[in-house]
Amino acid sequence: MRTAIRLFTLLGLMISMSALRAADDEVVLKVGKTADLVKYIQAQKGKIVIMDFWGDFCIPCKKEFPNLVRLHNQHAKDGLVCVSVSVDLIEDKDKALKFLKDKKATFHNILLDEEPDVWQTKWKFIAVPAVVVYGRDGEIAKKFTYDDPNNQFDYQDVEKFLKPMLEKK
Amino acid sequence: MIRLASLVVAVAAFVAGPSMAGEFNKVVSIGDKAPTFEKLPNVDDSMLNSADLKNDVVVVIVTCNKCPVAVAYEDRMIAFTKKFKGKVDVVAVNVNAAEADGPDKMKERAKEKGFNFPYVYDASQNLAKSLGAKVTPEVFVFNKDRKIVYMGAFDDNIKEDQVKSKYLENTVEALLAGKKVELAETKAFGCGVGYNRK
Repeated sequence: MRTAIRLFTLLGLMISMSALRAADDEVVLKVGKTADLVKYIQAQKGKIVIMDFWGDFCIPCKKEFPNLVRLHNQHAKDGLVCVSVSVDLIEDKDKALKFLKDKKATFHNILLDEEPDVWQTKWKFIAVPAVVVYGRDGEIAKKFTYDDPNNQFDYQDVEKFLKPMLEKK
Repeated sequence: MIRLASLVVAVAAFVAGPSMAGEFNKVVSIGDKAPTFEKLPNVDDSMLNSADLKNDVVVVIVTCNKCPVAVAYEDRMIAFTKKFKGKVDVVAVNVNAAEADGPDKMKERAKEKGFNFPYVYDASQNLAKSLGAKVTPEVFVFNKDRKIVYMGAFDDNIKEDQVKSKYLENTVEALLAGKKVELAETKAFGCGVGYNRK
């Protein structure tokens, strides 16, 4: 009996450890360019895409990031596609990946290995944090940025905006 | 037909304008009067007022202790200040609320690096906010009339050995030579300044 209990405990431990490893393995950070990111967004037409621009150097970005993970866990089933976009330097990729794994960011993660000017020009904002929401029609529905000191955002603003979009299928 | 085309081009050029003033800044435009400030505590325990700045050219750099981008520019800020000593007033201002960016940490950093410019703390965040600063580091240049003549990045690359355009230096050299500032506004890149929400 005791042996059986011990065996079951060991088995349970092994299963939970491999589950943890699997979750960890599911967090991937691709390296790419704005053009790759644009292609990915275009392929999500029909779904709502929320892109969170962040950096390992960016304290407010990291503070708000768990909200993106929560939205993924709650609303992936409702057609919400979460994307994290790191604007870290390529040499800081490991730091960025570590953060993503810590936060269990099991969605599309990309690090843009290019001059900031490219993504700043494409989405017309300067600073991170920033969140860009694409509607199901594939068009930008809303941008939330830090660019206006008098009108900075947090995820409460993002979720208030997302709610009716998610309810409408 | 050619005359009409020329007229259209001339009008288009006139409408387009020579600069992108205020294109990247939501609060101020090039040519606006620079904000003033009073009694900002410096790392040497003195208080700094904008009225204390007597040189024709003033450079305000919104920066902080911890942002890696701001840190990457520290040596350049020191070298720039040294190069233009006696001609340009350089002021670094930190408005971040995090403990790692507080006045004590600022003193430590200034001493460690040998900052040769005032490094002041603005707990109210008013100076940075009234300049529309979005990131650290972000640079603002005022001329002798205390109008904003440049805002944006210090130069065009975080990595000093890959810099091709020294925006700030070019601006200041033009001003000191009485010439026009060719590039008045550039996009800064760095850590977003988190302003206190009301």
